[in-house]
Amino acid sequence: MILLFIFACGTVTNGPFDDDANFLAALPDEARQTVGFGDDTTDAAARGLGDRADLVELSVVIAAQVNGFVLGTLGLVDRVRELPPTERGDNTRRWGPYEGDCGVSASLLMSREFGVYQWSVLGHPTEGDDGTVLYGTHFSGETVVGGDGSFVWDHGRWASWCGLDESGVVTVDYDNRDGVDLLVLVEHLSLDGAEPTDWTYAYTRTDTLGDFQYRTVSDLAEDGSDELATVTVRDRWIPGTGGRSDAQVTGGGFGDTLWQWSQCWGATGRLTFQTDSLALTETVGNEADCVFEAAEVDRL
Amino acid sequence: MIGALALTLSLSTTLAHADVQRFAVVVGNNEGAVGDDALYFAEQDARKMQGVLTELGGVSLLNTRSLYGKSRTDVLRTMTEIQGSIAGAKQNGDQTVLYFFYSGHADETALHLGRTSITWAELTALLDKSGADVRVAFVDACQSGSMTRRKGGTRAPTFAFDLQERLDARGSVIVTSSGGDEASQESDEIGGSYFTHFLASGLSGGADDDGDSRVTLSEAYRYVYHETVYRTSATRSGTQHPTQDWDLSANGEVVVTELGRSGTGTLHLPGTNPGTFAVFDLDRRMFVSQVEVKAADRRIALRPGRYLVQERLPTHLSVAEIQLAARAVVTVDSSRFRDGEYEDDVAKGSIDKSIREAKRPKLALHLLAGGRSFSDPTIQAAYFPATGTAGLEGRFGWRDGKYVSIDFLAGSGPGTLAVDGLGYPVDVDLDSATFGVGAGWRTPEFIVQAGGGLHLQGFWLRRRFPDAGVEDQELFSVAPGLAGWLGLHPGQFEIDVQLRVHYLPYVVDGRDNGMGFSELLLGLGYRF
Repeated sequence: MILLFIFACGTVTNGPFDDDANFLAALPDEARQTVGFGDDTTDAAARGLGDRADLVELSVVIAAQVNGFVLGTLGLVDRVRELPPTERGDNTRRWGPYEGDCGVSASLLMSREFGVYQWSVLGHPTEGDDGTVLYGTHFSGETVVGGDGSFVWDHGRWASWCGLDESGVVTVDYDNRDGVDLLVLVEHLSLDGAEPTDWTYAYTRTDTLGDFQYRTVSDLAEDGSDELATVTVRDRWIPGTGGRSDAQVTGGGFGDTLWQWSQCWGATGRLTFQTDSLALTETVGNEADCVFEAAEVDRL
Repeated sequence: MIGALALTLSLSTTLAHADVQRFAVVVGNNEGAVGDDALYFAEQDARKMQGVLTELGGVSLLNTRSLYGKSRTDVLRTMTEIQGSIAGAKQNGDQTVLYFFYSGHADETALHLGRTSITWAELTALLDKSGADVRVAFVDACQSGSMTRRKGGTRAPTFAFDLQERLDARGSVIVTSSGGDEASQESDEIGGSYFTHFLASGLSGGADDDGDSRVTLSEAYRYVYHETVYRTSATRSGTQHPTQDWDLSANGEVVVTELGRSGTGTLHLPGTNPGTFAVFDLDRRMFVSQVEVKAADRRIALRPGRYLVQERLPTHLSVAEIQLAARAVVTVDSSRFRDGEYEDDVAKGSIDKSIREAKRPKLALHLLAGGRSFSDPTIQAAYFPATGTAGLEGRFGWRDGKYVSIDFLAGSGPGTLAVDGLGYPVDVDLDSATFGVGAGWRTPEFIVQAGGGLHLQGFWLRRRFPDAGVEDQELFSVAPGLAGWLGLHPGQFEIDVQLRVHYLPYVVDGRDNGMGFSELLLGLGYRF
């Protein structure tokens, strides 16, 4: 009898806010668009002892640089995650404008069509025309966040608004469909008036495998030469088990000689095997004990 | 003026040549302490006695204080006031008489004024402190049965008045409704307690044995004693023996009522038509007198109005309807009577109506305030944040413990929603309104009381998003559930903590769902 009284109707929905979450999921974020190297290859005690493999030490530093640069470009994107949209449409969202660095306010504009999200950060400088400094495209996968896409940071335009003598473009391709896959291209980047350089980073991470490769220049020989060596490094690891770093070095103090240097390391990053093609370093351990037995530096 | 109004009193000896002011405090309370069955006629009996004292007893309305359904505090305050009035009269050189009448529950230690009480010691002290030269107390604290109901929840020993300790030298008389450990009784048939019924009858003229149109305290007591004993001898609760305690330094009689006063008329019942006649006031719907006529004529003083004079015969009623004017004397001889059926007994119908009215539930109004929360924390966080609410509840309680309630609650205030995937809370303004009906049972009336039962609630909720540009959203639901309460009920006031638990069907995104919700409320109430 009492069941006859049970009745409900209404218009309650969180649909508009769930859709806000969809738009936000289409934006790059720190967890998926940064390099996670170093977090699961060393422990605090090993870091303190300073006995990690040299190439692990180098990759940790490079990863931090990459992350810093990417996160710097995503500042406004991260900021809107904490704020409701300023304007909602069925397939559009707008956040801002918000005050930013150098007195440049910025807005984040997003649109959606057929599961493809396009977004851009529009700067509003105090002088000059508005312009886009960061823009991207995201293709939804099974979920919105589980898709792939890319975004581009126009560092030169932003620097010009701030009156800085800097230039460069950063392009990040990512694929979130199976773990994290990143390809970061830094082109003609010039900071503080330095010579423009090109850097490339590739990073893949799943639950069972990590792969980080980069190419950069370094005074690896530490001979004080003006000519820096070109260093290409590939780190592969199995989380919680150990990994292997292989480096190829040309230029700098090595001239035309290709120096190939390999190190294997355990779960905490400690060196377990080392060899190099010019016998410049002491050979340590047995390569058969490495997590990855063969050297590979060919992804980029 | 007060003196002029009160001057009609006659005290036959020591008070005979003085100006006398009479005062009355009339108290009636149908409610008793925990365990006392509520009475039907106690307050009506008090009204009846108030009428007799003011119409026939020379007590002016200005000197009368009537307390029906009131508490200890009210009685104490009134006795203090009357003490001041008596002191004023004595300053003018007047002599004073105070009548105190009580009808209600009592036990061996105290009068029960609803859920409060006044001990016998306190009452006697209050009477002594009144300062009146003569103090007359009629105490009708009785119990009831089926056709007759025992007043008071328990049989109690005879009220233990000790005259030597209680009275000063001027004088005090106390008449009680029952003696020993007897129960006193109400009667559906006469629509009141036996004691008060016959006391009022006697003072109206039924007790005027010597036919001098004045009823003295002795006459009244003899009459009420005889009639009460006779009429209660066959009742289930047993014979009821009124008692008196008399301590007057005066040598003569105290005249309580005078028949034939200017504002009254007289029914003349001739000895040529003997029988036992009950007089029913058609205007006030109550029996006002019962007179046994033998060989001598009897006169009854009554205020102007319409009356039914009834003689109950084995097979039928003999009925005379009388219109009585002030100063008029109407002889009710056999020619005025007609035969009537018991089924057409107007008096019985009126009494039944009084009983029905007495059985009606009592209303308590509560102001409620508290909070509401939902059983599913995820849904609460995402859709319906906990909110405050406040409103009003009306609770109707019957004598047997049943109650029904209706309530209305409303609330409005800000909240936040936690939506998956959003790194910030969504601001929302919530408005809610509920209308509930309940029914259940409560514990006997006591200072601590609890109750509970079913509760059905109509539930309306609106979500507003003034900063988000999202349209208002509404939910309407009918939620069945349970309600329980526990509280303190001092006097007429009620302080309850109430917990309600409901099943809430709801619709979100067009899909039917259900969950529980609870309301914890503090209620401040007053029982009328």
